Amino acid sequence: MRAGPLSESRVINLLNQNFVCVYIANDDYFGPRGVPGDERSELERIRQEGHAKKLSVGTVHAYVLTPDGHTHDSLHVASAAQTPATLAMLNRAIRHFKPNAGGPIVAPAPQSGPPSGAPRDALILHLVSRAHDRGSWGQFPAENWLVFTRAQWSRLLPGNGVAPGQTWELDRDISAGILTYFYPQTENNDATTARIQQHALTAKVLTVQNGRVTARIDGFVRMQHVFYPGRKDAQPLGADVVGVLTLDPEKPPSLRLATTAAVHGRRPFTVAVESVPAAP
Amino acid sequence: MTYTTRSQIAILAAGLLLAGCATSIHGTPSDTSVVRWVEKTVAERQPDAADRRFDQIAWVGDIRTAIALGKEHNRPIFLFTGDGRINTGRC
Repeated sequence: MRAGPLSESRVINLLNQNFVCVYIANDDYFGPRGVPGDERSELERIRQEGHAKKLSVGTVHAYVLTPDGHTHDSLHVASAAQTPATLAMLNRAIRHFKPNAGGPIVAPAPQSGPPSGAPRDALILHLVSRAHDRGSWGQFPAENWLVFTRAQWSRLLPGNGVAPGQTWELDRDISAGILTYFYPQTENNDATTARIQQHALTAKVLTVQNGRVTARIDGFVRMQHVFYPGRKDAQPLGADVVGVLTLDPEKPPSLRLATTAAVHGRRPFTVAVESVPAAP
Repeated sequence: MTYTTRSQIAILAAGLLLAGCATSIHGTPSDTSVVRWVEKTVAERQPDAADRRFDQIAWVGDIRTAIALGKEHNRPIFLFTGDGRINTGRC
């Protein structure tokens, strides 16, 4: 959907001018944690109403609801991913409801950003991973936002008396917590560190100036990763990594990482990681 | 260099590293160039405007908010339900 109609100008314009738009992640509504019960109930009601109207209903679907929230129309994602089908559903709704057309109801905003509520002194990493193949999977990159508390990132630091040329291996739990997300766009997003077979990130001090330590990072990860959830056909994944770690006293570290070579099965991919400020 | 050629090189490089070779075909930047190389490479790999078309849609945060705004503004509601996280591409 995102690679198709939801990136298509005609669809975007119709949505912004005529609809209230919302997307949800099923994990938040059906999993053990997530949204409040009354929000879950709304989704369940929408699905029940769709069944009652003999509309297509399922987990991955596009729906049109009436202005007061009742199920009016729907498309299975296999159809909705075709821009003409989504355009037709939206235009049917516009003809039927004759909405108050105008500008967007809310200001469009970035939908992928640092998690709110992260501690101000946390190390927040933005990871971007991309392979260019497998159709719509290759149309836009995958992202992760990783948060490490002060207690966690403190374990990345070297001991006292840092000098150029000094080397140390970064805390293995923290480095696993980063490298486990070094995989391309796949439908399976179980990023458990149990998939990792070998990994390491090693730092080497390049400079020490006015209390600031700059170190290069070299490392790698080898693991198994499955493309589709629930499958047993994990393929080997390997990535070589280079980066830069900058340490200033009493501040979260600055970290950038980039793959120099990475492949999942026969899919080459790239990863970039950089630390970002906490959300305001 | 064509994409196919780049892909073949990347696969070869990955094959070498998976086979336990110590160096990749791309090599690694030297100590004197690593800071600039990493900064440039990370910047080049950030999502661009074409990747972010999804962000041009005026999304609201949940179904209840959408219904409240639908009533207030007399607009139908478009709801997409998906597995994974469509906003981050982990889906």
